Amino acid sequence: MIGKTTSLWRAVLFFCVLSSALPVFAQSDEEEVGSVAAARIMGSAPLIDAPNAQRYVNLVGASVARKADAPYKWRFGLIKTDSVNAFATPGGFVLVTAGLVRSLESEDELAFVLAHEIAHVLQRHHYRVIVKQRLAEQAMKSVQAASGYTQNAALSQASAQLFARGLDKSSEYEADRIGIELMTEAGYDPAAAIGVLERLQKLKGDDPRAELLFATHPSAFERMDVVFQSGIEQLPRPAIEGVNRRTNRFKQFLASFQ
Amino acid sequence: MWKVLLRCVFGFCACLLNLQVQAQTARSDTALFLKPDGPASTLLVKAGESLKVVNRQGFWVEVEAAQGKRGWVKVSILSFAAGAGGPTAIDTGRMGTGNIVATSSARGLSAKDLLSGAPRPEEVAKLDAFAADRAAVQNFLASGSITQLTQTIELRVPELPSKKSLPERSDTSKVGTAGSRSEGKKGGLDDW
Repeated sequence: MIGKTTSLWRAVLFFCVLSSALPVFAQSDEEEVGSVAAARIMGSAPLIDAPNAQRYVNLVGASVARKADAPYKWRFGLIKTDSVNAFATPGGFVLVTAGLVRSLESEDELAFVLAHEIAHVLQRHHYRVIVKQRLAEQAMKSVQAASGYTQNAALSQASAQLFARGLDKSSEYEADRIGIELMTEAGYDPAAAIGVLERLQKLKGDDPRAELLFATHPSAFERMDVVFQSGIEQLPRPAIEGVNRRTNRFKQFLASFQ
Repeated sequence: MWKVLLRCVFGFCACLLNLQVQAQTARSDTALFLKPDGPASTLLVKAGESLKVVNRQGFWVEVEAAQGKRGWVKVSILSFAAGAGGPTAIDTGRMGTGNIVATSSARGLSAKDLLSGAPRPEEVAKLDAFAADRAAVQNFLASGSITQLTQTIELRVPELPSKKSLPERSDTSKVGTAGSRSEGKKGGLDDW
């Protein structure tokens, strides 16, 4: 009984120490967690073998992320699947599916998709859940087992479960809001965000390509309701000539991969 | 013959579904405008009146209301939640249950694929090669006429449509956010 109590206290102490130390070493750990999670997603959907298309996605992503003011090495990937979805993993990894990209109509719409994912990374939505889960597991297992958490298999499975289960709705609304702020500040058209939500709404709930997306996000209507009440219609919009120029190169991008 | 009949039935069902999904209401009393950013017409719609969206330009939508009224309103006038067949019409209802729904998907990336797939770290390693350097980004911005704004953009955090039914998955760990982005302006969304 006494032994149990002692190890419980040690676990609580460890939890407190680790929690207070997290902001200091979180960056590298965050990237490691994100790398394991990204490897898991790409286990089901690898990168599309089209270097120019990959570079284009990275350029759009970097154009948005340059306003984010965060110390991440951003890496964007276009992954091979008909599913309509996008993923952000901790530390700056953003993956967007070919199925989603093909349903978009402009570079500005792609900018919103990437900005939404960048916002998840900035707000550490997934990282917080994984850290909490990890700490809880470690507290259960005792301090010794916790000291070197390098069990990538466990982390990999935990991240797969998180991406299959999704975040809570408020995190998704927040990613929409911050994503629109970021893309607008970066110089993209905030009205393109509405275009993306309309596109998702047209997919309908029973489209198998969007099954995981709809199971893990609020409906497009709920998202539009929140976005329309956020003051989006007051935001400045860029000149149409620039939007058209970007739409032309987006069409070239779409033609550059299978 | 049978095929034609079936197609008609399916078409009719799809039509019904579409009508149901399209039913939005006006959030407040408003005048209908003649065109986006144009003058108001003499036509008025009342709060709660059904609106059918037929077109959108930027932040304006063209709507049809009762008695053949037609005109433009700003997007903030639209309410999906209150409309018949609002969000639940396409919401799968699986959000927030905490359960992992591993259903099969014909092709693509399903929850089942994620849960059963083997990791491929070599794919992550490939990402580095495509990262954009500073000079490439500058060229890209210039060729796409992307001009960074000097002002900070801040949107409001409206009342969430279904806050009461939010899943209890809030996190209490002490991990802050990485960027300089503000948390919810209204507070209470992410109180870490």
